[in-house]
Amino acid sequence: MLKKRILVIDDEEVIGQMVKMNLEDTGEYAVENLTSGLNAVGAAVAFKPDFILLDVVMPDIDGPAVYNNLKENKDTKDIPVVFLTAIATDQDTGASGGIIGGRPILSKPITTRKLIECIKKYSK
Amino acid sequence: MSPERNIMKKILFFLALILFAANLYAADTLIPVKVGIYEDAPLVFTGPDKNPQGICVDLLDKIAQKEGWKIEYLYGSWPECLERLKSGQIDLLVDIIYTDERSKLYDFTKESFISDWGEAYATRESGVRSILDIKDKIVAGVSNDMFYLEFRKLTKAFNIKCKFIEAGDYPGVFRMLEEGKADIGVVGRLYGARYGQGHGIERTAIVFSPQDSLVAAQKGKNQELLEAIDRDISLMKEDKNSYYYRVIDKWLGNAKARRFLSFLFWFSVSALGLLLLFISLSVILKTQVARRTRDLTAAYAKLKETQEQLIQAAKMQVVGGLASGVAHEVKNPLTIIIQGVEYLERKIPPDANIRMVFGNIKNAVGRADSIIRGLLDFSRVSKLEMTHEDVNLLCERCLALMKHQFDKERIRLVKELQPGIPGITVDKNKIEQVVINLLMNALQASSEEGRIILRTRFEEEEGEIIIEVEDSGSGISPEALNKLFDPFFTTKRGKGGTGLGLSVVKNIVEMHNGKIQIRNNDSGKGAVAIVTFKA
Ligand SMILES: Nc1ncnc2c1ncn2[C@@H]1O[C@H](COP(=O)(O)OP(=O)(O)OP(=O)(O)O)[C@@H](O)[C@H]1O
Ligand SMILES: [Mg+2]
Repeated sequence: MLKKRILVIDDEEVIGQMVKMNLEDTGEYAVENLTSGLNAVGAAVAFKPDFILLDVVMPDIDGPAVYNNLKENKDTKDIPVVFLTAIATDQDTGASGGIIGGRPILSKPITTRKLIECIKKYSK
Repeated sequence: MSPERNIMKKILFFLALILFAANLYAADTLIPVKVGIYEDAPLVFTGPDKNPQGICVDLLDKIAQKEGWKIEYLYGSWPECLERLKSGQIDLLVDIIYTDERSKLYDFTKESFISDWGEAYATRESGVRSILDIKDKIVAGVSNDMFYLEFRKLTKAFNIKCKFIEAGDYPGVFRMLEEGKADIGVVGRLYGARYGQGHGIERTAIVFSPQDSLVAAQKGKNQELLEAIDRDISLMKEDKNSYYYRVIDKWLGNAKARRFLSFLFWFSVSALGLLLLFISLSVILKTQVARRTRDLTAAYAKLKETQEQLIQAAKMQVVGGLASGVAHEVKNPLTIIIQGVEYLERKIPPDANIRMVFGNIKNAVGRADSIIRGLLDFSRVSKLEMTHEDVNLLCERCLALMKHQFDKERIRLVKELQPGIPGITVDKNKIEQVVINLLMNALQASSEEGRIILRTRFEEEEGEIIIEVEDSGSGISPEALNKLFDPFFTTKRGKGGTGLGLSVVKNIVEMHNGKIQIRNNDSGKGAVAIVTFKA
């Protein structure tokens, strides 16, 4: 079976690293990291992810703006994006990702189990 | 000098000599006895000029006269009296009741000066005659008074529900009856016999807890004093015409004492006329003063409330501003830790210790996370998802969620959901969060066999829908009362409390334009949280 391709965009580099190690360890995922959303579209076009995990609060460009960029490009607009954020709680999002303002959200700190549930739910 | 004057002088000289000698003799032989007294009219109390009086004082003075004692009365509060007796600052303490506990420290007389017992008085309108009538009535008593405590035990033992309010002293109890604040007043029968007449107040058939008023001395000391008292009192009691019965009549006003000389009667009538005039004048004044006081108190309370609201609002702002920043700074490292642990768990061969360490780390992360979560919930200005809801159904859902926990803790849950409450537009998840938080707090305050009431009601006149959570638990200490809603205020630190529960609750309630109040129960046990929404 082909590995699912996951793009993680989070300015906190170590978070991306850890998520990569844990997901790839399962043997079912290939993960790539970005620490800035500035070149998200280009990276997504090149990597062709099945699923994008996107941090909300980042210094140079914030998650919602990156989201809009992805949705405006025809090559990336159909890739499912889930926000990963520290400033929402499970209460709003539900345990395996919920919706705020029409967007799926996962709240930190995130366990691998929750993350996989969420990927399965939203990826094609 | 005339011979008569000479003789007069000699006589006077001799008289003086005799008096002097007698005095010397008396001073030599009178035994000083220090006696502790306190305020318990009509047994013992002090008059306007601080002179001791009452049944015990009269009787003791009589005994002192006979036994050649010189009594010095030492006035104090009840605890002071007990302390003085223990430390030997006084020799005797009058008007004390025997308990096993006390008998370890003190010796008691065997004869009682008089017996007291608890009696209930009731307003005429209340129609209370016996213990069977007191259900749902308001009972006034003196906080910590033994008869009041016994009465409460009694109602509890009979499983009779009534409301309790407390006064500072017995006069306060009768005042509450007169002012219609209470239906029933619990006092000692001696006090009642002297002061409980008239004013639309009647004695009921409810009597309980007889107690002998004794005299006590420090353990093993002053035995001869106690023996003398026993001897003299029992002698006096045997003789129906003795001083003893005159004293009782005097203080408890028996028929004989009420015989008036006719001139005294007419004198009294005219005095009464004057008195009535004064009373009506002072009543008018008093009501005026009372009204002004009420107005002022209300204004003051309002001011205070506004002030508190402002302080609370300021705090919320600070916390709200901090919350998301803190959350961001803390949750990212938490994510790293939890992800790191998950990775290591797979890579390091699991021995028992390693597993425990990982478990601990995960727990710690969970704890830190819950703090932040509470903070966020608290500061959340998220939009409410309003739907039309039935309050009772909402409460039922919360109960269903909590049922298991209640059963586990062996807490009885009582539902008092008033049927037919109109629907209300709320964010149902948030209101459920409120109810569950309040139930959790109630549960945590309760000990085994406690009971918690979840009550809903509709106040038609005010158009208010009210949810109450009442517990029979520990209650709230005065220091804690005005901190309850402060973020991070908790008395359960180290036991899983973040102290954010009520701040979040208040925030949610206020987002619904509602109000929340938490106070101790009137009955003195447990607390009640009252949430009010406009229908
Ligand atoms: N029903 C109650 N009876 C007695 N004390 C109470 C009651 N409700 C609240 N309190 C007091 O108020 C404090 C604050 O309550 P709050 O719900 O805000 O925090 P908590 O219960 O300590 O922690 P958390 O809700 O996060 O578990 C409690 O620690 C407790 O001392
Ligand atoms: Mg709580």
